[in-house]
Amino acid sequence: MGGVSARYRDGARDAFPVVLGYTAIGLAFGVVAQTAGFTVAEVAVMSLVLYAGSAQFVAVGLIAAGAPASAIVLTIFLVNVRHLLYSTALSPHVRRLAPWQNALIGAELTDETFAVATLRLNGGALASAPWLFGINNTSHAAWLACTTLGALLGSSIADTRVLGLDYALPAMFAALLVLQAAGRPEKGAVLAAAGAGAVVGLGGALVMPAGWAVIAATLAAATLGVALEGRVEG
Amino acid sequence: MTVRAWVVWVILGCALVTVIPRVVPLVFLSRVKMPRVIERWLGYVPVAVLAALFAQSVAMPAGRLDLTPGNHALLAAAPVLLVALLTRSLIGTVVSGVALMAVLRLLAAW
Repeated sequence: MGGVSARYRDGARDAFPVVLGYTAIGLAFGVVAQTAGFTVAEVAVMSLVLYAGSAQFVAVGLIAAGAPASAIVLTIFLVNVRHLLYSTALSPHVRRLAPWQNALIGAELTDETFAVATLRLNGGALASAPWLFGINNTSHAAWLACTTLGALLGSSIADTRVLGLDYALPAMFAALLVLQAAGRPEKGAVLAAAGAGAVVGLGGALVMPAGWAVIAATLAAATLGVALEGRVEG
Repeated sequence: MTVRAWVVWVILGCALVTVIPRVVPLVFLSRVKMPRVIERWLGYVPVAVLAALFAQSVAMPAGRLDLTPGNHALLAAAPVLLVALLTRSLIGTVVSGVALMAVLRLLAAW
């Protein structure tokens, strides 16, 4: 296991794919926000305290469009309420940690950090606090730095899409999906759950906000997985 | 380095409603012993979330469904899954995916 700083460094290293993904999206967000009239300081404040990729794009769009504050806050809540599921799913792994540690860990929970963290937490494994802080702080720092840089450079920046960097996150989702599924014993149930998650996540996004579709996909897929468990395999 | 006060207030409001669903279950449910079936159910959450996020990110890269061959993210989806299956390497898959996307775009521009 090593000491506290070694585990923090392990976490920082595990966050590397997230950092790659946040680089492209973060730069893009900074440019978009600057173009929409946001100052560099406002972008930095937003990335520091809100720290949520898709929600920040939505917030910038609504603020720039002059939407009322109550509507903006409600919309962001609906975009981000899926984190309830991540936080709940992570909770059995942090039952030995102090409440203040869990509060700080939760404050930096994102789609990507949740996925990276749970990869190492199969079964009932307990997470170490420094390791989770290493993942979270590194990812958050990358997001803050890249969004701020994007806002500083503004539209003078070259199109990051040319480099293919914006595909880092989809590729990371694919790899984590395969690794998560491979690490579990009930293969049939896991495959069925993954299929259901993809279908409901995609179909749902056509008729409701993408964040809600993730919730619908998770409810359907996890229920299907548990129902099939022990039935597909002996 | 200027900030508009009302913008900061709106951001703080957004941050508050975001941090509550992130923090509350971690702080309180971690104190509760959950029934075995719920723990098993929660064990499927990462796979379910990743499948949904992956499907959305490759089939609707610009926020709306695009199942045409012009959607490079969708073209790269199967090769990237294959690399992940064969190598079982997170970094290897991410780097391959980024490189593949760059090549696809170069070919399309050429």
